[in-house]
Parts: sequence; structure tokens; C-alpha cells
Amino acid sequence: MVDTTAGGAQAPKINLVKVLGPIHVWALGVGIVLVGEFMGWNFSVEKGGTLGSLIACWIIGLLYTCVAMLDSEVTSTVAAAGGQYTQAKHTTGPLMAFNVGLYLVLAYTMLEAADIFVFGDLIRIAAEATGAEAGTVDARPFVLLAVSVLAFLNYRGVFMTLTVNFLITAIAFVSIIVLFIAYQFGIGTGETLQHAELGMGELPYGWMGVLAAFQFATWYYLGIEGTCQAAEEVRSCGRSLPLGTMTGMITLLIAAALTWYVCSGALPWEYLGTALAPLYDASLMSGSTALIVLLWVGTVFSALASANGCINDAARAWFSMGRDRYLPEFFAAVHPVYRTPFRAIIFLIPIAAAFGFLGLLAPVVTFSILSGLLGYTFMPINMFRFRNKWPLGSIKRGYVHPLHPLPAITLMALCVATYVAVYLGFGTQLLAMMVFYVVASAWFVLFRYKYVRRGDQFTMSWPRPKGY
Amino acid sequence: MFDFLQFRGPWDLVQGAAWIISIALLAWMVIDAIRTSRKYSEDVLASSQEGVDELLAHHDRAR
Amino acid sequence: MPPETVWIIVLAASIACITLLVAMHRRNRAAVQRRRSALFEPAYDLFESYRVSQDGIDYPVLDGRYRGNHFHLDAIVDTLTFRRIPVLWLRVSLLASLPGTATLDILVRSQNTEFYSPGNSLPHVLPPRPGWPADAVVRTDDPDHAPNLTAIERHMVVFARPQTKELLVTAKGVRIVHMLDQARRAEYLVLRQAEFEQGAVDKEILRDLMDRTIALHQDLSGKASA
Repeated sequence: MVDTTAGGAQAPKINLVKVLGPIHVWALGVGIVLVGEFMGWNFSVEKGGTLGSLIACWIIGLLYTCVAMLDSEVTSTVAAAGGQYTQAKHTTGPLMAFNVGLYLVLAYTMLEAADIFVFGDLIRIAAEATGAEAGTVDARPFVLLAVSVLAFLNYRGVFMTLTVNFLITAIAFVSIIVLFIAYQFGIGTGETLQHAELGMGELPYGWMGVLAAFQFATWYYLGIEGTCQAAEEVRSCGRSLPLGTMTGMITLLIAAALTWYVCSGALPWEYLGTALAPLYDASLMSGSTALIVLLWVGTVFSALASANGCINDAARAWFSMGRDRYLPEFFAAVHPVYRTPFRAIIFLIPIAAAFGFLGLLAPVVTFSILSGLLGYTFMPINMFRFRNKWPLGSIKRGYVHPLHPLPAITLMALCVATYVAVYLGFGTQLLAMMVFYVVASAWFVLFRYKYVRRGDQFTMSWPRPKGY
Repeated sequence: MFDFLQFRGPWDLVQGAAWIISIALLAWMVIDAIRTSRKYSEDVLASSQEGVDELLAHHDRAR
Repeated sequence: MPPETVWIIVLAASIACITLLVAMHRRNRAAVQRRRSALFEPAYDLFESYRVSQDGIDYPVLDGRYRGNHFHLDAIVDTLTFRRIPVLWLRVSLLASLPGTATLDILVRSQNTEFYSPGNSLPHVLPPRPGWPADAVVRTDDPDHAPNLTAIERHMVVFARPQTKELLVTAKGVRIVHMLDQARRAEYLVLRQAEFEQGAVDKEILRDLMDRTIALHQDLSGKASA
């Protein structure tokens, strides 16, 4: 992937890229989302047992498939509809858009906090594995290092010019496959997978436990909507977007199943339910240094790639809200030299760092999931409005998702179920989050509404909606 | 948090280095942000024109 | 393996990695600068005279004379949209005065993040005329002295091309903003990189854009404004 000079050398390269197009997107676009396989999902095992976790994994997979379908339709229809935030602005209005913007910023900032926390802890683990005395190495300087370096790179807009061979992130995906193959065929592993012995067949908390497990099962897939939603200024070809999204979804489902399979066979469920990095811990059980290092590297890379994406996205969402005047225009500044939303980037650093320093992964993951869920709850509402205001045939849609309103209703029902799940385990946090959004909305209505330009709502090239 | 100052092993150096690098990078960003905010007016920052936009020179004067 | 040896290996490997990365970064920067400097090369022979300047690794800026008119061309990388693939914008500015004209900005597919456009700071919104793109946002700072929309109407066909983003008219000239390239999707999705395939402008498209700005300017300067 080295850059070429302008001129004749380009033609063969472009053909190759065209051929790989959709494959590229699915294989590598899920790179950031894979971090959910390396950490966080296993808390669902604590809630519902190993089997309960698997059931939850599939059901939540259904939730995300609905998300992918709904999102693909809206995003492929109009190039300008880049994401839920823009969609909310046009279909619902400023207050909803402000909330959706907040959901996004918080979901990604908390995900970032979880990523850097895991990174810091993995460095600590590596230190202790290579001879440091247990308890002498603090994870926090490395947590701070991760966020500072990534924020610095984003501040300077380094990725606008630097070509990094992103096949490195494919290591994350490859490491999962290698671990699975190693365990399944007994290559290089001391133990084999022992599902039954490690308590797989039971539901220790019954079906209530399965419901409770929904909450953390979302972690496998959180962020996939980013792959669906990366809109283009000028849509190049409508077909590959949904294809790329669907194959991305299938990749994730496979990766989630493999992850679950290996981890539940290598680690007792009580331990698995509270581990920090389940795949890495599973590799520890194998005793093979090569596997352990590979999984360590896979976890670190996916955490850092994910954190980078989060810093980038959260800052731009904050910046967008500043430009739209939902937030003070202070945040709408663009750095004259680096062309980055520098104030938004700096503002969000302390939030991520503070939660990364907390030292507790489950609550941070919960905050992220809750904010993500609120965004997913908005989607079916948005889809109903979208289909009502602009019925099939009134505007040209790149992709029409089948069986409407079934996916929308399914999505809504599963979201509600997951809220119940969060309430069961983290009721206080659920309440705190709701209070936060209510207070933020009140602040918006009282202090920001007067700056919002109503005309912005109709700046899309769609005909006037039905009924106007 | 500052245990590493006791120097019990090489990892203490690594931790110290991590703190120092992080704080240095954060400080650089904050200082650069403040410097940039001082140097350019808010209009220019919102439009990210490093110099004056050739088509809008009169526009800046009016503000 | 004793811990000391592991330590030495790790340290040596880290130093080697960092040195390698820095060297790659330097070489990459030089390559990027070289590649970007060739942005306007295919179009050099359109101009009677031209001067190209490049600040560091930024895209170059071209000042030149085409058909007797003074043009200023530059390119801007836009990575500031949320959930949108980064875009490379080409700004074709004709510097020929239109005395007494207020600033008029017509922007399509507006996401409010267009920092390269003065539209955000223009207070008055004018309704687009029938036949104009429905998502066009028309703004001005002085409705009484804005260029006549009927005169502009003939030139709105420039937006028939989907890559056209903005048409700006000020007292100092006319500008069209056109999408040169979009970043590669996969690179953006994984590491939020802005990697553009195309190395250079298309000569015919550039000629067309410059011709249109000249035509618009001629139309506007031939009539009194408002």
C-alpha cells in the first residue's frame, strides 16, 4: 500500500482496488469493531452463564442486523445523510438531533475510555509477565500515554497525510482465527477446549440471566453502524454499500461465535465473567508463548485502532454540533494549519482519560452501551418517519430493506429488552444517564435553541415530505 | 501514583517516561490551541483561512 | 530466558521500530510532498503564465492567467465531516472585480461543516428559485446589493455535475468549488485516513470550470446588480 506517483503507474493499481472494493470494506472495515471481541462481551457470562451469553450473542446479533438494514437504507438514499445525527436534523428536529449527537459523542468517548484502559492494563500485564514485581507497575501512565499520543496524531491531522498499512489491524482478526484453529485442532496448546466441564450447559440464572446478558452482548457489535454510515459526498455506486455492511455483519457474527467458543472452552465461566481480556486469557491457558504474544498484539492493536476512530468521530460530532450552534460556537473552530477540529479534540480528552483512569471496565462499558442503545432506539422511530414522509417511490433509494416494519419493530423490542437488562444490573447508572440527558436537553432548550437556524432542517434534495 | 520515584526496577523508568511523554504532548496541544486562538480571530478560525481569502478581503475589514 | 535478556531484546526492538517508523514517516512526507506538487501539472499549458507555490506538504496553489483573466487555484482536504468520507475540494477563483456587489454564496449538500465556504457567516438566506437544486442554500450578507438571481440562473447548470459544491460571487470575483476526489473507503473506515487515489486535476474539467466563472463574471458585470 505504498503511494504511487501521478502518471502511468496508477492504472493497474486502480483496477485491483476496484476488484477488491467490497471485500476491502468488509474485511477491514470491521477492524475497529473487532475490539469488542477482545474485551467487554464476557461480562455477559457473569450475568447469564456461558450458554446464556451465547443466546444473548445471537439475539443481539439480530438487533444489529436490523440496525445495519435500517441504516443502509437511509444512508444509501442520500449522500448527505451521513449518520444518525444528520438524519435526526432532517427528519425530526434540533432537540432530537442534539440528543443523538450527545449519544454518539458519549458512546464513542466511553468506548475510547474502555480501549485505553484495556491498553494500559495489557502493558501492565506484559510488564508483570516479563519480570516486574506484581503491584509495582501502574497502568495509568500508559492509559494517559495512549490517549495523548492518539489525540496528538488527530490534532495534527497526521492521518491526512500518513499512509499506514492498515493490514496491521487485520492481525486482530487473524489472531482470533489462529487461536480457534490452535485450540480446535490441538496445535501448540496444552489443554483442549472443555466446554462441558467448564459449565457450559447450564443457565445459572435461568432465562432472567439470559436477558441480563443482553446488555454486554451488545459489546461484540458496538460500532458496526459506523461501517454502514460512512457516506460519500457523491455516491459512487449504490450497490456495494449494503453488500459491504451485510458481509461485515456476517464477519462479526462469525468472530463473535468463534470468540465465545474458544473462551468458554478454555476458561471457567465464573472467571470468564469478570476477566479483563478474555481472548488473551484464553491464550494464556494454552501455554504457547507464540499464541500468547499474538493475542496480546491483536488485543493491543484493535484497542488502539478503535480508540483512534473514537477520538476522530467524537471530536467531529462535537464540532458538527458547534457548527450547527447546538453547542457554543467555540467548538466550531478549525485549526488553520492542521485543518482539524482542535478545540473539540482537546475538550474530549479529559473525559476519556478520567473514565479510563477509573480502573473499572464494566461501568464504563455500560455507559457506552447505554448511549449507543439510545441511538439505536431512535433508529426505528426515524425509519417510520422516513417511510411515512417519503414513501417508496417518492425518492430514489439506493437500497430498500425488506419486510418493513418488521425490522424496525424487532429493533425497538430488542432495545427495550436491553434497557431492562441494564436496569437489572446497573439500575443506578441507567437512572444517572437518563437524568443526564434530561438535564442536557433542558439546557439545550433554555440556552441554545435561540441560536439554532430552523432553515437548516430542509437542506436536502428530497421533495417536500408527504403532508407538507 | 508516584511510586516509581523509588526506582525499583526498569519498569519504573518506563512508567516515568510514559507520564512525561503524555504530559508533554497534552501541554503542547493546549499551548498550541491557546496560541492559535490568540493569533487568529474567531471568524478566521471558523473558516480556517490561514491567510486572507482573496475573494473576501473586504469582508474581514467590515468586522 | 532470563528477564534481563528479554528486556534487552524488547528495548532493542522498540528502538529499532521507532527509528524505522521515523525514517518511513520522513520518506513518506517527502513522497507526499512530491506527489501533491504535481496536482496542477496536466493543466499547466492552459495558462498563458502561471506560478505554483507549495507550503510544506500542503497541496500547491496556482496563480495564473487564463484567457487574460487572473485565476487562483487551490485544493483543500476536508476531513471535518462526521460520518462522511474525506473529500478533496478544488477551488477555482477568478479574481476580477464586480464593484458594488454583495457576497452571494450558493452551497449544495450543506452539512454546516463547510469551513472553506464563507456561507456560514452570511446572515441572510434567500429562497432558491424553482428549477434550482432543492438542497441549495443561498446566502448573502446584503439582499439589496446581491447579484441578480435571474442573471445567475443561466449559470446554475454548473450544479448539474454532482461534484460541484459551491458557487461564490463577491465584489472581488467569482469562485466555483468542485470535488476533485474522495478518499478511499477502506482506509477511512479502519484508521480514519484520508487517502486519495487521483494525483492530478483533469485538464478539461478545469478548463470548463474556468470558462464558466468567466462567463458568469461577464454576465454579472454587464448588468447592474439587484
